[in-house]
Amino acid sequence: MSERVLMLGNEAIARGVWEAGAIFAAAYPGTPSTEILENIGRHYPEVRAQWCTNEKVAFDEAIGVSFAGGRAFVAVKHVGLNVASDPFMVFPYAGSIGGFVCVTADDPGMHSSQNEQDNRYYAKFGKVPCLEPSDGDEARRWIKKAYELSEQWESPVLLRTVTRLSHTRSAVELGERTEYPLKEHPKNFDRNVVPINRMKRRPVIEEKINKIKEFAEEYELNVIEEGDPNVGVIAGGVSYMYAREVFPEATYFKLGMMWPLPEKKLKAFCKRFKKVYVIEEGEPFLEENLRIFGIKNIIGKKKLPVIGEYSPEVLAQNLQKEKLPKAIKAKGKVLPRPPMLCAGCPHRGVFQAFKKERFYVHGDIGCYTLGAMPPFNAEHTVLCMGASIGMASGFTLTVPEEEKSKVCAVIGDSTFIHGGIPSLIDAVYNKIPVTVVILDNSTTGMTGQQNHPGTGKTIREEETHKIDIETVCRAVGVKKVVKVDPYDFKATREAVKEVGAYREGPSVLISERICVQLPEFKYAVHPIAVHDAEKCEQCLACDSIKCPYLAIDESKTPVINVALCVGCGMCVQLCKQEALSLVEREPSKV
Amino acid sequence: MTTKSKTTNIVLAGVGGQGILFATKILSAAAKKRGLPIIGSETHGMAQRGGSVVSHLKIGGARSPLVRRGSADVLYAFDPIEGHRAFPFLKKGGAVFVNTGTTPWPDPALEKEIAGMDIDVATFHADRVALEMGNPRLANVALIGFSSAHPKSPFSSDELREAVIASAPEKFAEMNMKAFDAGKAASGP
Repeated sequence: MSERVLMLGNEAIARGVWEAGAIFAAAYPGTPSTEILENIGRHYPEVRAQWCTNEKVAFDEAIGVSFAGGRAFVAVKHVGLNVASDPFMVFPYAGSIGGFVCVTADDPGMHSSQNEQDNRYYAKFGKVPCLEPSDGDEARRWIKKAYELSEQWESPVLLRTVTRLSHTRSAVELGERTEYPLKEHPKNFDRNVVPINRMKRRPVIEEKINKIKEFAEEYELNVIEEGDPNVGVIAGGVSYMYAREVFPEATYFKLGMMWPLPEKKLKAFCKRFKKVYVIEEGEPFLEENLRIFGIKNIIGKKKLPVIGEYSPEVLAQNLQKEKLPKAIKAKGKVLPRPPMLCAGCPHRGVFQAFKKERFYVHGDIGCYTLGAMPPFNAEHTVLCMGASIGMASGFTLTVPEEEKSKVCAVIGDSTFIHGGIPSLIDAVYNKIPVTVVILDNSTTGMTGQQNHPGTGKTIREEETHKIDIETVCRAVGVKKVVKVDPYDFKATREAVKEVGAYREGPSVLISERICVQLPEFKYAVHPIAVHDAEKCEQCLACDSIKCPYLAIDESKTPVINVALCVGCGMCVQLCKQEALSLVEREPSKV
Repeated sequence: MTTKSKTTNIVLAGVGGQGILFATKILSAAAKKRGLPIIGSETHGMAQRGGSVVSHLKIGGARSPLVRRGSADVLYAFDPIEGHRAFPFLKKGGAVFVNTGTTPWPDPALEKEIAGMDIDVATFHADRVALEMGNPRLANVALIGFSSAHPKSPFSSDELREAVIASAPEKFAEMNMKAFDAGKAASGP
């Protein structure tokens, strides 16, 4: 046996992409999918790796690679496939040439997402095959299987993972890379979805998915594992692992291919048992389709939840009525601890200004969704990537005149480039006096500091053209563009007021400060805040931004965590008695 | 001590930024060195922004990465409140190693809820040790060091120390080793 190493599920997928001979891999960062492209970028130079401006662009480029005959790869989080859904739905009509695999990383339990979305439905919707591995090594091997399927059927293939697979560490075997010559790319119109062709292609994809369904009947990744002849279970993916742990003795139909389903084989399996458990995290996707096949003796969502993540615990509680130790409930002892903005996070300065100026804020996707939480409570709507500017535009048009100057969109640099620019152009074009605040922290922060077109660096840290956000805003016709340093509370508050008051067209405020998690910040020497007890009047103004490294003791006096203070100086500005000040830190004490 | 015939379930609980992933890596390295199969689940993404973070680690041939409540052999709590939150993972007769200050742990208010569970509680002010060494981020390794001499530690001190060295980036290996040793020294002779 070859070497086995401990890998995250996403690392194993990256390895699989490399072993499968893919020549191109693209993504936009999104938890829980991010580490796939990060690892391809870091470890596999044979694969051209790219952070793309957004998922649709990633998809379009990968389709181009496939049309040119090369093996192409895209990774998205579940909602990323929504962004790429336009090409995703039409691409099967054209059909792939070089193998095309898209990993969709779903997030049951919404660990880092705004919704729960079961992307197996996309496979059925788009009429493409979908594989779902149960562990890291399967994920690695099945990426290669997915490419084989794709080239055999000239169809894009989905491979679904979930947070618990993507972020699970387990032993993975290392295989070698196989290189494939580019396939022919005939210069004809077969793959052009023009009206005359799409009428021809429509029955073709129907026929194709039916043939794949026949193929699924004997497909090696759909396995019956014999056990107790009285207990039958149908499961796949991580749900299969949970089920195996709770019902180790049962007879299993382990579905490796979630779509299309082997109807005959499933019917025959269900006939063998009085009742068959269908164990699937998320929506009743299998259950619905089994019922369409006319199978009635199944138990699924009647006993198991649709909402949230599964675990052996969830199965044991719902199917075996197992009593588990209860959560500790002693009053005030185990308070929830949600995520919060980091100490020194530049977003704090902007949200403090929104709060003081009582803005109605349309938020976007990034760390700054945390501005909705105390102490700021200054973000009122959030939907999806890039939606803030459009929402703020519609809102501004609709609210009474006197409210308009206190409405804005807030969006990060990476998200602005991903999906904000068309909405800003629209506001200029349609003369909507919307206010947009762009939080430029020089990185894609929430997903763990990835480069983007505004950082001037590629996924492999190579220098590239740096998109300047101010230039973009001015180029599309925004007349009022203001820049501010969010570490300066007073200036930020004034700037927020100023752009809000501008009513002659769209206005943009760019808040510029790097993310404290970037190495440039982390490994630099910063001053530290010090407290002078004699001047302090215990007014607690310093505590209003709830810095994680500034605590208030029993005598209402601030206590600064000297070791962790990042020297942003926000607490210093809040102090009315000059009891707080910044002093240089000796490098030796860093 | 772990034997090959049985799964050891470990839960690590703390706050984003405390180095829970690194502590998980150390335990995984120790298990791998012994040739034991490992599966573990980690918290990434948004939850790491100062929120509760839990790692699950199952050593010895488990299929699913999640530890069920009432089945953890060992709990490493890098923060006292997160220790309370993760407490129900422990099984009867399990052990918990807690980074806590001078206040008693578990909180006396919880005594009723945990009575009769026969849990070995070992508390240690890992933050202080780390601060004394000039880097609060070393508390994770100090707690592992402290736990390593305990009879219910899944690995021996030598195994864990070696795992620390193997897991830390070269630049920080010595610093981490010192933190480990300081933690171990605090556990008594």
